[in-house]
Amino acid sequence: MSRYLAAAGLLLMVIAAAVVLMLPGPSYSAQDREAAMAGASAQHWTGTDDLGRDRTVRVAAALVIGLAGAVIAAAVTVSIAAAVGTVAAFSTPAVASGLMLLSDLFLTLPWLFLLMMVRSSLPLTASSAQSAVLTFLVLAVLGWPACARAVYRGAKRLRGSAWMIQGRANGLRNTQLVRRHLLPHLRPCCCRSF
Amino acid sequence: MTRLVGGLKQLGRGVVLLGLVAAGTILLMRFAPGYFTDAREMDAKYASSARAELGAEHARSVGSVATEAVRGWMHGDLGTSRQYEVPVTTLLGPRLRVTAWLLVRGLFFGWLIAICAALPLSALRSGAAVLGVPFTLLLAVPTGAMATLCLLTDFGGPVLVLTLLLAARDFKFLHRVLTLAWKAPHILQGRAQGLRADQLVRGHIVPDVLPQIRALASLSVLTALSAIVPIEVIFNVPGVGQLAWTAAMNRDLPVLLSVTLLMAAAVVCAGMLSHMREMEVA
Repeated sequence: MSRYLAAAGLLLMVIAAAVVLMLPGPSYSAQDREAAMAGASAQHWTGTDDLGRDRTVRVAAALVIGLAGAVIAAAVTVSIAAAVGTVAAFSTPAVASGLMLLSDLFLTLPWLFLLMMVRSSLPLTASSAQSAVLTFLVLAVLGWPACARAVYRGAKRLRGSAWMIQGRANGLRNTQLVRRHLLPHLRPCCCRSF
Repeated sequence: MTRLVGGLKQLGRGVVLLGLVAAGTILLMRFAPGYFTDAREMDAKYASSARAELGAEHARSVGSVATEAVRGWMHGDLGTSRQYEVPVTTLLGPRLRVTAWLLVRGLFFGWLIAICAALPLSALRSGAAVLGVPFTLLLAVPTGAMATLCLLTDFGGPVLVLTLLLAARDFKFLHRVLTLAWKAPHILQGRAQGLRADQLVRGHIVPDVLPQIRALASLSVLTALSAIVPIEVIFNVPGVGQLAWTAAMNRDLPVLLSVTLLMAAAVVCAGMLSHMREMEVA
């Protein structure tokens, strides 16, 4: 029940932000230099920033981009993590060890510089939407290791369970076992990481 | 014998990981924008010498940069800082103590709050979700925002922020684990037979959840290490996190390499502890 309430709350926030963006008025990038750092008024409900941009519209735009981007990035991250963790659990020890080494490497490298490289490779005229999409994509691709380790541990434990051995003895292929039995069991672990 | 072989394998894995981290850090930093720039170029007095140094740096291959880094490590001074022009060890030594003290206090108080809150709340039959709301709210606040809020309100400091961050994360996990432990059939049986709560906790619940708490402890250290950078930068704490940030901003490769390798060593140690525990259980 509380899960549905939380989801409804998030949805309401996004809808409210979208409504604010659709209302006639200044866009998130429109500058009113005559009213820089202005206080709350009928025209600007929560005032303006140092460049005279409407704070309400900017917060609404940030909310929509942030929430939508975060949800998509988290979905990509969890998908990669589920794939890596499951492959590691169902492959030879050498492959599993290699994949877990890769996840440790991803956890420790200073990826800030990759983000800088990506941003500098974009032309200066790139729109904010393009930058946002690329940033979230990079963050999604870099965020899988912690979740992959959790999935790997869970999948490895389940691989040795009695029902899994029974399924294998009955002739089920690894892909069938993973798709029909393992992934539903790993769903809580993936949901937590999401 | 098996344990020794397992330990040696883990050690070898750690060495390979450290090598890969060093190579990756050098590559990422070398090709990041701003590596071949120097603030002194803006000053006419130093511009020509700065450009000459940058030209020499540009001519060096990645291999020679890596060789110099390894030479610095073999020499024991971890190389010379690009921005401060002093051996990295002289920068790291005092800062390590500051960061370690901050981490110890943050981890201690964070765990204390998480355990003190999770233990009674997990035993409740209803209302735990409502009482746990403060921790859920804390989870939603980014570390940087929490630190900035403390600064703006002039309340608390780095230890408080680290403590709250760890308490919120550890509480969620501990609460879930302890709630499941309270529902175990043997605990219900113990309750029905009239055992007191403290007897159940001491004799049954703590031994049951100890392996999971150990796993959480290693994860907690990694969380604290990743939070150290924003906390030290915002509160201007002269620790390793602040050093790493200034090194990243000034493209100080020897310093950043040393700090990254320290972080990698922490990850390797956490992995080895977890592996050893798995082997004990097996």
